[in-house]
Amino acid sequence: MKKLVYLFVVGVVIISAGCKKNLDVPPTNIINDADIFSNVAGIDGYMARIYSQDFSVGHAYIAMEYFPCGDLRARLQTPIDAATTVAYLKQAAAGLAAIHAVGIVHRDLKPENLMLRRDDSLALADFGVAKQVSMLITDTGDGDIVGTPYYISPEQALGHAVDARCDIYSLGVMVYEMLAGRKPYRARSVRELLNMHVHAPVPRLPPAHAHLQTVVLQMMAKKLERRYPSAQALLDDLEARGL
Amino acid sequence: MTPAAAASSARVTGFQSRTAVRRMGSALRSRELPTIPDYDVQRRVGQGRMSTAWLARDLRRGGDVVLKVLNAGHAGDAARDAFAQEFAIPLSINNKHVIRVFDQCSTRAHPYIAMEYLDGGDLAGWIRRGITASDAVSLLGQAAMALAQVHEQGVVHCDVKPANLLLRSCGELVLADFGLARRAGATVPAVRGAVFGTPCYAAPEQTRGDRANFAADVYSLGVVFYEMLRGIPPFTGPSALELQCQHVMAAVPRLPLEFARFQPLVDAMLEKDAHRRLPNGAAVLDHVGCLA
Repeated sequence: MKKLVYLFVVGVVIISAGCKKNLDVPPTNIINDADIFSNVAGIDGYMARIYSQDFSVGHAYIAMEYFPCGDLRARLQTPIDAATTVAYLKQAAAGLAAIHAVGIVHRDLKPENLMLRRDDSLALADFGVAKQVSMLITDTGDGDIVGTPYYISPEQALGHAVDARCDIYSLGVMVYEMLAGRKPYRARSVRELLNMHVHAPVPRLPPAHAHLQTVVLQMMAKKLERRYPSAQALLDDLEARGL
Repeated sequence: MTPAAAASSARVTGFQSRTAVRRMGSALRSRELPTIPDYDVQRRVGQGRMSTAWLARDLRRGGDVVLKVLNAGHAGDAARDAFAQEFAIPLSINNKHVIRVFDQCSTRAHPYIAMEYLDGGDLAGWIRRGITASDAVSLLGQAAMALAQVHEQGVVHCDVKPANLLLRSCGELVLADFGLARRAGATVPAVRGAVFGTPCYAAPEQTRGDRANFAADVYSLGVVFYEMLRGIPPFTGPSALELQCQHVMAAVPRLPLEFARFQPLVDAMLEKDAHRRLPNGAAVLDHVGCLA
């Protein structure tokens, strides 16, 4: 038990061997995944840093950077100005470019896994490991069992083929939320919400942020061919706009 | 470290709570053979978060049984209630397609249920090895028969999936594991925080915690039927969230031409709107009868 507490201090993913049947992934595979991420993280500050990992008798664990400032979800409690939004956007896009370059699509980008450091820099967290864990449906008691797909791309909702561009859509939803102070799509049921992701036009940003409307539109384009083709293309466009 | 900081770092790692970690730890500890009077425990045959299944010899009645033993750390009243219903529901149903239960004990150090040992393995294994279309129809019919009985008792199974459909060596299919079962119309699972269905097989309305309805079991069985025919389930999103979205939004992939005669039944079972779906096990059974 002492070990568990210590690992929590550094912020750690622990996968117990007893759980691996539920996860349907042998812990060794998870460690292999972690190897990929640590390679990415080693060269790039936009990823949560991974310090060490081990697979011992009882537990597989990854010691991961701890973020005392919390995540973007917490940061969204207070207004975020346009300049800060653009700064976060650029860092998240750079992080995505790095993971996409090694063939990883995040697929579940949301404010809960964009982490903030003390210097207000931002890091991507929660890759395959967390996703495998989330395959356990846990009833939190509030009736929202799986989580609400506020950030999911239309192609994921429809069960179509998915590539790196789904991460750009999800990031676009977050950019809208940072600028407008509310989510672009809200609905009473999951079905209604997914219908909006697939069919409803992207709502307009507040007039003060109109200069970012095109960027958000192109990130949240429902048709893949209208969306930025890559995170790098998004970064280039921001650069070209002098942002 | 403060509790808030602990919770925050747990969130970083994607865990729901420290409780989840503690439960996983307790699952790990149930490795040594439990000592249970009147049974000779032989080996472990299954491991879940809530309970561990052991193959044992029944010293009073003779023969092999499976002992499902509640894991340490699940000694709370809610867990014991859920465990009690896992015994009571199949006990009240006398049908060869519903698992037989023999005995239970809820007071000793190791609360357990003694149930029939099925030596044919589960349907997941059979699907991996490949099932012919005619066997798939027969197995669907047997599962529908089980569900029809369960539904007649006013109970929704809530976790129909290949791992819970077991086979006797003679090839008879048996519905097992009533740990998540609920009375029709009930809103919350017996155990707060319990794993609630399996995203790959859960009906669109099930993942939102709607009231349990018979049609949810029909949907799950429809997924199983599709999987028996194709070898893979209709939706294969990599996360629970994506799977949920696909169940709610994505069109069911068409069956290949050779299975075209099953398409209307698959569509009627995998209908997204619970009110337009086949309503219960008996209705599925009627349709299977028409196929034969």
